[in-house]
Amino acid sequence: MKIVIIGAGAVGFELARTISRREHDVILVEKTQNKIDRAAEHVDCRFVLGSGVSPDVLRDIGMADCDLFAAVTDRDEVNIIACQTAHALGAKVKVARVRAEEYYQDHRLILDGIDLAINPDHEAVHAIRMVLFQTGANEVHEFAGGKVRIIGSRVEAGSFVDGRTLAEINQKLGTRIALVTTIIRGEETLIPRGDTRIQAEDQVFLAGRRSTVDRSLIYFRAQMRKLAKVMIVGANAMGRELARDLNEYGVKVKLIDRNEEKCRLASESLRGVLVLHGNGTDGSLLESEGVADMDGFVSVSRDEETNIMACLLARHLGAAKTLCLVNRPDYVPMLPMLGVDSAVSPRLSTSAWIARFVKRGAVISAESLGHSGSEILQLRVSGSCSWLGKKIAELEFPADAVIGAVIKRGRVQTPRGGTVLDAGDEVVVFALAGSAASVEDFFAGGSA
Amino acid sequence: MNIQSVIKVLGFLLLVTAGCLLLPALVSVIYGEWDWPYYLASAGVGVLLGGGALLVLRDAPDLRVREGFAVVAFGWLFVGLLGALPFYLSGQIPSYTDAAFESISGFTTTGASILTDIESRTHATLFWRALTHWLGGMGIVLLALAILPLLGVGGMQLFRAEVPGPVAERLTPRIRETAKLLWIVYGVLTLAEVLALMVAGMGVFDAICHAFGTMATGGFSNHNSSVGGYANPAVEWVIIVFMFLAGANFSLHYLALTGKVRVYFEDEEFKFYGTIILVGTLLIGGVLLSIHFYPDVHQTLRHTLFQVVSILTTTGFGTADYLLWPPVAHAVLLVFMSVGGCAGSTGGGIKVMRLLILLKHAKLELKKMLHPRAVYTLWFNNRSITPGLQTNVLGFFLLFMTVYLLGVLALTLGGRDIVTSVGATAATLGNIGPGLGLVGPASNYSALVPWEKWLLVLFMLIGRLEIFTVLVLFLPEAWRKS
Repeated sequence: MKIVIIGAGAVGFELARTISRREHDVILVEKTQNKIDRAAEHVDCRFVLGSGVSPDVLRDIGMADCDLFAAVTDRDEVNIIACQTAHALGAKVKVARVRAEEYYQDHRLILDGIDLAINPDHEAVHAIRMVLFQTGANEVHEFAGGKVRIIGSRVEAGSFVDGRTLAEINQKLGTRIALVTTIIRGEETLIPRGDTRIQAEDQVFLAGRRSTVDRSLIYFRAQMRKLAKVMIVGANAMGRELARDLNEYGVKVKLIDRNEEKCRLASESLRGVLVLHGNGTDGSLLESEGVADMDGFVSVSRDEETNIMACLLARHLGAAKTLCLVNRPDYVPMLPMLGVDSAVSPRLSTSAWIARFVKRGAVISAESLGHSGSEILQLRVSGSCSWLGKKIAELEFPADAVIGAVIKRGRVQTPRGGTVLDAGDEVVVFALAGSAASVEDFFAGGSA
Repeated sequence: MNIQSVIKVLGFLLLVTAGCLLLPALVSVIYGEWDWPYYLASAGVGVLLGGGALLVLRDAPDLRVREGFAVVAFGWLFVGLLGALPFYLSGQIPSYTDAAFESISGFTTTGASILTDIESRTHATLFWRALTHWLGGMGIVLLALAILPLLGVGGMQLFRAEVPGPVAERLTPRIRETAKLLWIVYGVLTLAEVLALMVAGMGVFDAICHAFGTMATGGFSNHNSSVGGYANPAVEWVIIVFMFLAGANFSLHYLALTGKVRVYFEDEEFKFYGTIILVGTLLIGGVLLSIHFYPDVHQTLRHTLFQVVSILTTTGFGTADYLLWPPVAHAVLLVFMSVGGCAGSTGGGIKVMRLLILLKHAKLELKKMLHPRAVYTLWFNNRSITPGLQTNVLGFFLLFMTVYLLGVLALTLGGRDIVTSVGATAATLGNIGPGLGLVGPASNYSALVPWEKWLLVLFMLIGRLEIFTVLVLFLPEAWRKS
């Protein structure tokens, strides 16, 4: 597969790194030498110095056999024109990163030549909203159009599952609890067996039918609360969209920004949202505006350090759940240790999103799980698998992976030892770091 | 300010007025009366002055922002003064001060009269009184905009300076089309009222005159005791309905006539306007019922509703002498005099929209006490009202109250009692007509001395042109060349 990426910024870099690990021809086009030098240290692909909107540059690369064209510079107009140029030259699938909401109509671009437009802010808002509404969760993924839901939750001391083994839990609750597929304990990610004992502070991942998963959460938390009040720091496009979204669901929103002009803009476009002019890291402001009563505290300003500090402060002052926007991958792993419940990274998720379009045998879609390096894969069972017809318990399944859900003819099932997989079924699989390739091979019919 | 271009446009306005003066002359001929030559003579004066100005200054440059104010303010003054000529020349109103008072009271849709015996006037006099209302209601400049291809870009300025309310809405991209549409809506409603009044039992002449007076929220009646003199409940109900319509925003009527009737129920101002009328009627009606002022509920309701709607919309027709009602009714009506109709209506006063913005502004100030760092937006009809417009409304309110208080001060300085002074100022500044005390609904302004009449004429103009347009001319900057 030939993949052309325009722009070696954070998104382009991450995208190139992800997909160049697989057997693909990746060509990264960038117009500043500096960025190429930096990317060349980490990424094994071909680099072209030049402008991604130039027909000459694109023709030299060759568009006729280009399978995926991704324009992900940080300028919307450049991305749009690059895609249209590539379209005119015959590229197959064209993806553009477009952030300005005014180009969209119902979250779609109506322009010719662009197969998919991705708005990182919009995707991030969607992710934040899912996590916020699921007050017991800090990570939410959806597959198969929302039929399969995967939720990450931190086990609270004193909750039902605290200190019990999975076998005990299954015996007591039966099908009322969703499948516990993966546990992250400290630095370690493990696939639980029947005798694995769940401890407080474990990060557990549940998979299954949406309603089952949502209902199961009460067993992992000491108490549940309803999302009623949320405070947002940062009245940028993302903060405003999130505020509007939550407000439409009847959540009381307070939006803070230190730029008065942005406050005014937000106030004039968001009826019913209380807009405050001030600093998100101003403890007395947060306190007097009742941060202690907040069910959620989200910081999405452009400054990542401010976001982290604001969340720490809010947590200290008593906010129930804190989320922050962080784009630097270096920061992400330490956030849970600091006490920030969840981190959202629009740039990383954009590259993950585009990476889904890169065809990978049986894989339908893939998302990374937390920041552990593990992946959640949605795959289709190939008819050429030699093991078809066997029960799951009898399969020689890769050791570092587990099947979280099975979709048979559109219906979601919880996999049991006796479940039989047929060709055409879809499965959602948790694959620990490094095992994704063997899982793909397994369902593509490579090995028995 | 370029005075030549101002005078040129004033010439246009005088020509339009001269044309309108032919209508009462026609009425005079139809009824076989003797006073048509005076109307023709007045029209001749208008043609001479207006046409002369146009001929001499035909090459004057186009209007700019600052000339717009002068055109509108002086336009109204000169049109009013020309309109007074036939009253004076024909001897129907022997003093020119009185004639000017009557004419400008007509054009500004105030409806304050100095005539003590209305019923013995000629048909032409009565018709011209009503016609001045009708022309002034939608705006004489707006009429000129609609029928004359003049003014070019400066037109928007004139439009804004004349149409009541803090924001002048364009219904169409072109001002001329908007002006035309508004006049058409106005005409359609007037025609509807003429027919309704005739069905209710009024003669055609009285029906036309009262329809003019109602739709313009004017208030001149052909009867000494106003609408009450006809002793016809059906007529009173018809007039209540049309006064209510005239006090609402004509843009809404336009949208309703094009089929979107639900705009009424989506408009915050309209809903508040209805609420005010409802509350005022219940309050006054309740008090009147409790003291058994009228023999039955229907009469109480009809009389209360009529006076409340008449005063709130600044029309000024009467079916009852509200001065005989208990004091609480006077207080409520006095407040209503300053409130006035909706923005974009033919009514005067502060306007319901401005009042609503003021109230919302006050509420936000209170909320700011609780959240000192909050940035609030004032929402009106699902649109945000910019801080600039809020300041404009606050400034309007301040100037309105200042002029009001200065007016009361001036009249009391001249020796008038406080009730009459307050009533006369409120009734002329708000373009209502009947006030309190000596100038109440059962009496009129004839007892005042000439300087008081001229002062009240100034208030009528200030009120009709919404204060800024007139007061801005008192700034020296407005008169500088560039």
